[in-house]
Amino acid sequence: MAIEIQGLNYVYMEGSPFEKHALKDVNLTIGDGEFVGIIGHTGSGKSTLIQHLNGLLQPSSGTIKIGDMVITEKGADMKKLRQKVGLVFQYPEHQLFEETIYKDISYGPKNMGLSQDEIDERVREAMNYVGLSEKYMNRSPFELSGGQKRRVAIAGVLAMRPDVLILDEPAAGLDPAGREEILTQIRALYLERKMTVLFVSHSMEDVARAAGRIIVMNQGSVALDGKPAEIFSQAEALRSMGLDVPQITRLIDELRRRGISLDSSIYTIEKAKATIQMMLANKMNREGKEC
Amino acid sequence: MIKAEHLRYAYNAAETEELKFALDDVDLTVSEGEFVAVLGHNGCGKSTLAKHFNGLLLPSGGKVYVSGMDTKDDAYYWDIRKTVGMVFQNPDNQLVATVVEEDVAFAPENLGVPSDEIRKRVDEALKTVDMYEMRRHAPHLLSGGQKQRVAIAGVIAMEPKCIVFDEPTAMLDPKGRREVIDTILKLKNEKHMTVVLITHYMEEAVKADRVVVMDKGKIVIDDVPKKVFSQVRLLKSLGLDVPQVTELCYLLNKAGLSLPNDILTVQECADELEKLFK
Repeated sequence: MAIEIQGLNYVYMEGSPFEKHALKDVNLTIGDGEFVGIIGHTGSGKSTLIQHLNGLLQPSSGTIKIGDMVITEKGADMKKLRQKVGLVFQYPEHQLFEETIYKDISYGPKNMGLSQDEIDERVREAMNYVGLSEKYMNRSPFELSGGQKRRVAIAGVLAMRPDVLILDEPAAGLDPAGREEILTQIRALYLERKMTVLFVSHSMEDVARAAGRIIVMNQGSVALDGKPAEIFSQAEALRSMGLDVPQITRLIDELRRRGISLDSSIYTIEKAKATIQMMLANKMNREGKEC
Repeated sequence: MIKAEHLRYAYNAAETEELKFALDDVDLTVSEGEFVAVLGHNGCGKSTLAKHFNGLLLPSGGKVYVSGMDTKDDAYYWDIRKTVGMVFQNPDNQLVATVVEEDVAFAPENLGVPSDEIRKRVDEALKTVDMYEMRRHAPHLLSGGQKQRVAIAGVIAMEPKCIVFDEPTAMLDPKGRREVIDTILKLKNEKHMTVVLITHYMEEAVKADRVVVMDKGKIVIDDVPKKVFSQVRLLKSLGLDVPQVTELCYLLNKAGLSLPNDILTVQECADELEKLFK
């Protein structure tokens, strides 16, 4: 499902001394089935932006169209919208509230008025997607580890089978193995369900690994928008916005500064390894011929 | 400064289950002025360990000594908390006042420090964390990195000898993370404080004097960063990462190159690769 945002502005606490222009004339088109990473420092407007996409915030001005539904129009069907656009908040495990995992995940589908069989199927499907064994179904979600709780919370959103999935910092606070696992699952889900996925992150490494397109927010505006390689090749601009580039990008930059010609768009370990090996092989060939 | 001997900590996971050990026979000594980083995946016991360092948790078995004081001895209850300060993950849960400088004054006030002395300590603490200019601001309108630095100032104002940081950067953006880490390094280098840093970020652990890796309630590695991070395969098997440049060198070596296996920083890695290309 495609998303079209035009001339979006949002002002917090308008008319008060704390007035803050959180979004300034944001224009974005996100195609059906795109996997987009949104980065930006704290206060750059990224969370404000995503809260507009399922109607939690109403813009001060501008329009948002999701699929063929203009959600900023008066009388737009918010209930329908929220079934289409699933939003997973930061630290979603704090929102678990039911006695059992089954009940917690089925809360959404139940409110959609689905039959018991359908609810059952969706709960199982959602648990499966996030890698939770069905044997946990009747356990209390509060007995689980932090990472497992988070997966229950994500499953609760997936059980509504949204067309657009938005995740705010899904890997925050997890250890490296936990981050890797949750990102791999989101990626697999994306490939299988062909959803449109937007995910907000502070971690350039995570975004570099998962997303096909990166949007960088700064001071309420879209500062950069492009493929990961295009974005990470602008290390200086990112730094000035309080962001970091992956360590590999910094290494490539440093080597280029020292006069070694490398492609500035390399940002993963695998690509760096392959490129360095190839260059060394070429060098040995050349030296071989000279002898 | 801090000494744990055969430290064990047991808890009941569920009433029906047997006792589980979150810490299982841990021996660790942190010397005065040392900067020790503690790594480990979620649930390995590192936060439980940290909470033993100022008596928030008491051992089920073994002993913890803070500057020679047994944490289980009630007579030292206050002295231990004055000696070791703690900074936690979420700055929002640690700020209590509506003005930055009042927040920093909270602890010394409770310790009964005379008011002109409080004024001095608060100003100095805020200057140390580089938040003096914002001393009259409201904490809830600050950025995450700024809030966390105010929380650190609040601990410094107690004048502890040691500060334990429990994932202080987990909720911050890259800029906030840099601010907090620079502050921690300043405390160690300029104020000669003892620092224990619990973190998931390998690039932060690299800056420590010593790295302790925990798994299943035990210490599995305890060494200088270079010796710890050169064990790429072991760290990965423990659910941990190594810095990207370390992994790159590891992979290149597996493919037949012979780079040093203790490269941790971009500079070191660039130096080695440059040699190969020249």
